[in-house]
Amino acid sequence: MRRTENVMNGRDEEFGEFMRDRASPLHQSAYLLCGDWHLAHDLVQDTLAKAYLHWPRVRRADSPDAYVRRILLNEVRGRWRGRERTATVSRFPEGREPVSPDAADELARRAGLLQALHALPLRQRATIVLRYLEGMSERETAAVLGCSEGTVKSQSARALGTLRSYLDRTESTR
Amino acid sequence: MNSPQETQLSHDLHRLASGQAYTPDLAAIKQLARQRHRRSLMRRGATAAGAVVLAAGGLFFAGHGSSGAHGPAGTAIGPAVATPSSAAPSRSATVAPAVRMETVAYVAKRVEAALAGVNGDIIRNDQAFSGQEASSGTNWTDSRTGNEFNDMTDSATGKLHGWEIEQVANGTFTIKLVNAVYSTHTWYEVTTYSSSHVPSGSSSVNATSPIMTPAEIKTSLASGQLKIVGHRNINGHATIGLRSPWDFGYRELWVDSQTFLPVRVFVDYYSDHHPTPSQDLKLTGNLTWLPRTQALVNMVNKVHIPAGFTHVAAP
Repeated sequence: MRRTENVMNGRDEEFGEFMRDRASPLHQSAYLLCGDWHLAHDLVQDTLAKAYLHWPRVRRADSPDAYVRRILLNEVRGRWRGRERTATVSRFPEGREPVSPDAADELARRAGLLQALHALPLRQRATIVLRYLEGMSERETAAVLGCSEGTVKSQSARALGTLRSYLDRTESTR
Repeated sequence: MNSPQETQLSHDLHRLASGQAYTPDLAAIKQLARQRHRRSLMRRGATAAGAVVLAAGGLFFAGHGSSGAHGPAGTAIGPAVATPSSAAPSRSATVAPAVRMETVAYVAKRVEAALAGVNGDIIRNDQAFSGQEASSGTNWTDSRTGNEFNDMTDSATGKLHGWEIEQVANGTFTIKLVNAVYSTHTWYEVTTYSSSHVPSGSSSVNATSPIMTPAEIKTSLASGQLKIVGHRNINGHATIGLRSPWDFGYRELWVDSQTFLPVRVFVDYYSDHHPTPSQDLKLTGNLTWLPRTQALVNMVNKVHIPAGFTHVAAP
């Protein structure tokens, strides 16, 4: 009995450390994947709960972070199949933004990005988030998505093609 | 990052995503994990006989992959179930004495033989959780199709009928869940799993099952962790118990000592972690192997939404 208790305590410490380190990046990714901070919060909670349940398996994975990101993607995918498919995308980020004219332009431009992002199929969106928010390599992205590097390249290309109007606007404002 | 556009994209994504701080609470995460796990058990019928069939089937592979030298018969390793039963199995004169024969490997071989003789039985599992959030339900599994029907009641949802229908279409495997909720007179449908979309190694729908999966049994056997824990009389069956430790306590599978079909699953859930008795969840599933009748086949394999129920989006 006591041995089990010690094991569980060790698990909590280890998982707690992982959680503190990775929760914020997961939360940010979740937001870009679903477009709603509250839903992102729920998704990360569910993801971490699942990771906690399977922590012995997660910690043995080559990359626990990649494993947990796969869980997050599955959670997003599951929600997307249900009523969250119709969840509204936040019109603007809920952070405290300046309101000067230039900043307003900037806000509108990024709001456009968020909407464009959510016009993408989930897999392409995930590719964009992993590559350009997380800064993952194609190989790392492939590991998280469970596909080949070639697929990551093609998904990225398609996604960037769809985001072309946003990217062109970025180019014109530089 | 290659082009200026991509650099700007990365910058903008960081700006977009930095709007809110997030500080997780470990206690809340653990509570959610417990709730989710428990809900998964009830909803999926994770205590269902289908899982037990898998588990018992795994015994075969485990048994054949071992030397069978895993301790003496009836080795008791814990006080909870180690009580030698006064109703020990009565064997015919042609059967070797249990004490000499009942190694894990022997029991595994007999279970495998018993399951090989099962011909499309419908397996009924009367399951109950004890503890703070006591609930109960009955699950029927078609051993031929793998489909399930659940009739359950718990404090959160009330009465619920649920079907889990396995489908393969265009090479994609899915499990369709259909739940009819009596408290709201509504029903909803959701496809929970598609193997073609779930990355290999990710958490799958079976991952939360407390039941001894074949892989786990094999691992347990190889490490000497799977034990025969004793004998009991369960619902009129003389049984042999197998126990395996797991992350949240331990799991037991009790098989009839005559037919070697599983008749009970018992899970002591978080038993050692939470000292408060009210949080001490225990799960008991009693299994009955029923002949395949048309009525049972229809009940399990065909969704029957009660009259007057309204279709709603999945929660």
